[in-house]
Amino acid sequence: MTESPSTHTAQRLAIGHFLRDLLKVIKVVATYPPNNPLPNTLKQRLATDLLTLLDEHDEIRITVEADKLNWEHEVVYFDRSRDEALAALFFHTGITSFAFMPTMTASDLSRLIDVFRDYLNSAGRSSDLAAELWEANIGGFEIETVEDISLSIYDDEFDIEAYLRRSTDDADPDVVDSDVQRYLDLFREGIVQNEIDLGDSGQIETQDDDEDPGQDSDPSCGSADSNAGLSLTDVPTVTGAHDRSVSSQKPSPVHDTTLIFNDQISLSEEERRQVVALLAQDAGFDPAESTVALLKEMLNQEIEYGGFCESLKITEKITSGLIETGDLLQATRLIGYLDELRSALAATRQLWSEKISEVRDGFGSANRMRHLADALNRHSQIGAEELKRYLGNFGWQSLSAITDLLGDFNHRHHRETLCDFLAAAGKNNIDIVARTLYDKRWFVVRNSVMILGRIGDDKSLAHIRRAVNHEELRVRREVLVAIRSNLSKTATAMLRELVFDSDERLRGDALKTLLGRRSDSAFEALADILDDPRTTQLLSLGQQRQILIAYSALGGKDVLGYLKAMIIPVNPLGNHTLKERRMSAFLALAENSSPETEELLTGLSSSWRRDIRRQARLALTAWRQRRFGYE
Amino acid sequence: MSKTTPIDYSHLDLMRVLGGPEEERLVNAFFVMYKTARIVDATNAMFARQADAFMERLQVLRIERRDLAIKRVSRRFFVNDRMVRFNEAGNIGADAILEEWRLLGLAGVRFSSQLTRQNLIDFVVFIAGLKVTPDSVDELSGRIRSCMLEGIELLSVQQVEEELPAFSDAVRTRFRRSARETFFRAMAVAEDIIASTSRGRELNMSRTRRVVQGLIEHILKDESSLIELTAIRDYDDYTYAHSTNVCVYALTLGVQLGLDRPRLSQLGFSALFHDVGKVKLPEDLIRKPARFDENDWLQMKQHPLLGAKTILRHIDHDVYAARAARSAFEHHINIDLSGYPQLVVEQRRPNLFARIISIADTFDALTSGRVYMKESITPAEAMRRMHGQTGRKYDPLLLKLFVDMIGIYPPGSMVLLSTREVALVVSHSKDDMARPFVRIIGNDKGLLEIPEWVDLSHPDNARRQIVRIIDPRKYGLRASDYILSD
Repeated sequence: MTESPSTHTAQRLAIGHFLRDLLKVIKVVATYPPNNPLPNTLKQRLATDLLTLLDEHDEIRITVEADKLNWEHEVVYFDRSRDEALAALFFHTGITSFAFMPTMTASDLSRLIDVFRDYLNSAGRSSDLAAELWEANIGGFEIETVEDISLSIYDDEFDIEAYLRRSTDDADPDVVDSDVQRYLDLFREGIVQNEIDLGDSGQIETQDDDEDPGQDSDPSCGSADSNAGLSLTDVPTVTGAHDRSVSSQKPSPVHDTTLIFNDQISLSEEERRQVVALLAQDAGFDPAESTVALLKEMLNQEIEYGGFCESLKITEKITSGLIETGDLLQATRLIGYLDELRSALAATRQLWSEKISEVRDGFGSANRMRHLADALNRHSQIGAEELKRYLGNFGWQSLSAITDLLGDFNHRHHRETLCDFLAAAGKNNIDIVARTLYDKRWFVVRNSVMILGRIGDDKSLAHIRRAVNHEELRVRREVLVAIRSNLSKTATAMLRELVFDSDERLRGDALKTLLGRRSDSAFEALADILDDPRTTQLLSLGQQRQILIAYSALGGKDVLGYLKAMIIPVNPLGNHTLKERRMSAFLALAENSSPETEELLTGLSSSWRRDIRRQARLALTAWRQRRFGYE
Repeated sequence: MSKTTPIDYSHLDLMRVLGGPEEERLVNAFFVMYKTARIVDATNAMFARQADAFMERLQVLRIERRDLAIKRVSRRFFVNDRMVRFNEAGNIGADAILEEWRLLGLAGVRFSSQLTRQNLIDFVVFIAGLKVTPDSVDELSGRIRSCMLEGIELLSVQQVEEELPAFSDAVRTRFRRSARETFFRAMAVAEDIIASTSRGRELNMSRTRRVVQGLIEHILKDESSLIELTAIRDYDDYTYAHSTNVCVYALTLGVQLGLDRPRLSQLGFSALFHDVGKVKLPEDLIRKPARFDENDWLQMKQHPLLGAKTILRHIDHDVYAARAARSAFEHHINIDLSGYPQLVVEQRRPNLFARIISIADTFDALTSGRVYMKESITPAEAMRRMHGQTGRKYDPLLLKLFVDMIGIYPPGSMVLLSTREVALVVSHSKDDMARPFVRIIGNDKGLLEIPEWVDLSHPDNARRQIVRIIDPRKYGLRASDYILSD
C-alpha cells in the first residue's frame, strides 16, 4: 500500500523539525557547562523524538548540500543564517550524507551531540568533524564523506606505475624484466618435498642458532658489517649485478620457519591478560605529560648548539601551547626543568645556559602573561593551586607584567590567587604593585588596594592612602577592608578620613572600626573628629555620642575640661541639640576611668541647676557602679 | 579440483557488511553470559542480569522480526551477514568455548523471534555445562541434537558456510581495487608529509587522518589485501612505501590488539610519521646504494631525535602530535633500552605505539632490503631473526601477535609449490598457516595467461604444498604485476 501524499508530507515535516531541534540542542550543549541540567533534558526530549521517527522509518538517510539537507530527494532543512547552519556544518567537513539507523539509542544520540559539542568548542576548529565522528563510532549513525573527491588528487590507480621502476636491468641491477630463462631456473634448482619433521611431539624443532642472531642482523643497529652472524648458505639473497652466483646457492630449507608452527607463538591466557594490561596502561597516555618528558630528553640529547636552540624553541612553543590549553601543571614542570637545566649547564656550557635564560625569561613577559590571562578566562576549571604554582616560577622581574593582569582575570578564584601571589611577591617591590593604583579601571585599583592591604607595611599604607578619596565607592570600601586590621597610626588616620566619607554606610563602618581601637592615635583621631565641623553635618547624634564616649574613655582626666564645657552652658530655650550634647557629655563622663571624674561629678551633683544636678547624680552612680561595683 | 573459498563477506555493498557497535555488544554479551554459566548456576543474580542484557541487545537488533544468528567463520564473527570484531579483551575465555564448538562441529547459534528468556537461560546452562573432550564429542553431539529448545537453533560449520554468501569474483575484484586505492592514497600522503616537512610547509592533518582511517576501515574488513600490497618492492623511491608499509603493519597489529578507533587513528598517524626525521638527513645518505659505514650510521642515528623535533615543530600539539613524536623518538630504543638514542633523563621503556612501530619497521626493512640493509630476506627469515631478539629489542607479546598476524607466508609472498607451480599468496588462513589462499601464476611450462585462484587448505588441494618462498626478482618475476592486477 503506497504512502499517501499527506503522510509523506507529514513525515518530511517531522524530519525537518527534528533536524532543526538537533541543531538547537547541539548549540545549547556546546554553550552550557556539563553539569547544567538543561542540556541533558533537551537531549532526552530529542532522543524521544528521534526514536519515534525511527519507529516509523527503516532508516533516515539525509543527503547534504551546501546549505540544504534532503530526505528522499526533498529538502527537509535549509540554513536560514550563519547561526542556523546545520547543513554547512556537515558540508564543509566533507560529509555527503548521514543516516540514523533503527538501532540507534538515546545514549548513541547523546554521544553524537557530544561529538558536535567537542568539535564546535575545539580551539581554532582544528579538529575534523568527519574524523571525530568516525573515531567515536556511534552506534546507529553512519556518514559518508567525499574521500573519493577530496583525496582524488591521490587517486594514483592509473599512475601507480609512476611509483614503480621502469629502468632496465642494465641501468639498475635491482630491476628485472620477465626473463624466461631465469624463470625456468626456478624449477631447475629442484623441488624438495616438504621437509617438515614433526617428530613425536607433533611440534617442529627450532634451530639452535635462534638464540642470538647477533646485533648486526637487526638493520637498525649501528654496526657497519651487517653480514656478521649471517650464514650465506641459509638464505638466498639478491645483491644485484655484482653477484650472479646466487642461483647456485641452495634454496632456503623449510625448517627455517618451523618455529612458526610451534604453540609458542599462540598467546596463553596469561599472555592475553598481559595484552589487556598493556592496553589499559596505554589508555592512560597523557599527551602533555608525554611531550614534557620527551622534551626533557630531547634537550639532553643535543650535541650542537644549533640543535639545542632548535629544541629550546620547540620547548617554548609547547609551553605556550600548554598554557593556551590550560595545562598549567605541565607548563610549570617544563619551566621548572628549564631552570634545572640552566643551573646544570651554567658551569660547562655557559652559552647554552644563557640561551635557556633568554627563553625562560620570555615566559614572564607582558605578552606571555596576557596569553595566560586569556587561557585562564577560557578555562575556569584551572584551580587556584595550579595557578599559584605557575606564578611561583616568576620573580620580581615579571612582577610588573603580572601586576598588569589585575584587571584581566574573569574568575574570582583566579583573581584571589593572583592577589595572594602579588601580596607575597610584592613585599619588596611595592612600588611596582602600587602602579596599578593609577589605573583607570576601578576594579584594578580595588585589587591593588587589596594586595597592598595584605602587605600592610607603612609603605603600602602610604600608597593605599591615595585611594581613600577614590571616586568609586567599591574602591573606598576596599580601603576600609584593607586597613581594618591594621592598627598603625597611618591606618587610623585613614579611618578618620573615611568617617567623613560621602557614603553613609561606609561612614558608619569606618566609625565602628575606629571606635574599637584603644590607641593614642585613635584618641587623636577622635579628637580631630570632634573638632571637625563636618561631624555635626554628616554624623548622627547617636554617632556623635559614641565618639564622645570613646573619646572620654581614652582621654582620661585630659578630657574632663572639654566635657565640662559641654555641660555648663545654659540652655534657656531648651535647645534640643544642646540638651543632647549635655546628655552625651554626662554619658561620656560615666565612661571616663580617671579618679578626677568622680570629683567633677560630685561637684556637679550639688549644682543649683536641677537638670545638671540630676544628670550628674545619675552619671556618678553609673561611674561608681562601673568602677567599684556599687553605687 | 580447486575450490574458490568463500571468504567472509557478502556481495552486498562493501560499506554495509561491517557490523556496528550493537552487533559487537551482542556477541560480547553472549560470550559473557556463556562464561558466567560455567561458574554459577541458573539462579545466580549476575547470570540473570546478563541474560536480561542479552535479550535487550537482541531486541535492539531485531528488525522486522528477523531471526538473529551469531556465527563464527575463520576467526571472524558475524551477526547474520554483518561481520563484527570481537576484540582481544573479549576473547579471553571465549577461545576455549570456541575450541569446544570446533570439536563439536558447531559454528553458530540462531535465535528466532520465538525465543523466550527462559529458553535462553536453559540453553546457555545446557551448552555451557557440556564437558567437551575429543572422546566425548560423539556423545555430546547426540545430546545436542536431542536438545530441542524453541527459538534456538545450533548451526553446524557446513550450515554457516552455506549461509554466508560466497565471495564472488566481482566482490573480490572490488575489494582488491579498494585496497589499492586506499594503499596508494596513503603512499601519496606519506610523500606529501615528506615534501611538506622538508619545505617547512604546513601539513594537512585532516587529510592524513582521513587516509589513515581509510586504511583502518579496510583492515577491519580484511587485512590480507593491504598486507599483500606491502610486498611490492620495486619502487623508485622506497621511502614513501616504507612509511606506508609500516603503517599497514602497525594498524593491522593494532586491530589485532583490539585498540579502539581513536587509538588506531593515532597509531596509523604515528606510523606514517615515524621516519620523518630522515628528511633532515643528507639526501645522498638516504639514497646511498652501498652499505652504510660507521659515519653514516652516526648520522642515521640522529633521525629519531630529528623526527620528534620535526613533528613537534610543524604540528600543533595534540594527542596525535604527542603520540607521533614519542613514537618517532622511541622506535629504535629497543625494549631493553639498548638501542638509540640512549636515554639520559629517565630510563623509560618505549610506549606501546613505539613498540608496535619498531616491529613493523624492522620487518619491512628486513624484507625489503631497501631501508638500511641492501639485501632483502624472506619474511620467515626476518621473523626468525626478530624472534631471536625478542625481549631485548622487541616486546615479546607484540612480536608473537605480529608473527601470528603475518603468518609464515604473508600475503604478497611468492611461493613454489610441490606440484611445480609458482603462486602468489593472497591471504593466509588462520586455521592453517601453512596452507593459504593463493593465485597460481605459472608452472614449469611457463606463466599462465590467466592466474588461477586456489585455496590450499581445501582437501582437493592436499597434493599442493608450499616448498619455499622465492624471491621473484631472482627469477625474472615482478610481484607487483600480479598484486596490482585483478
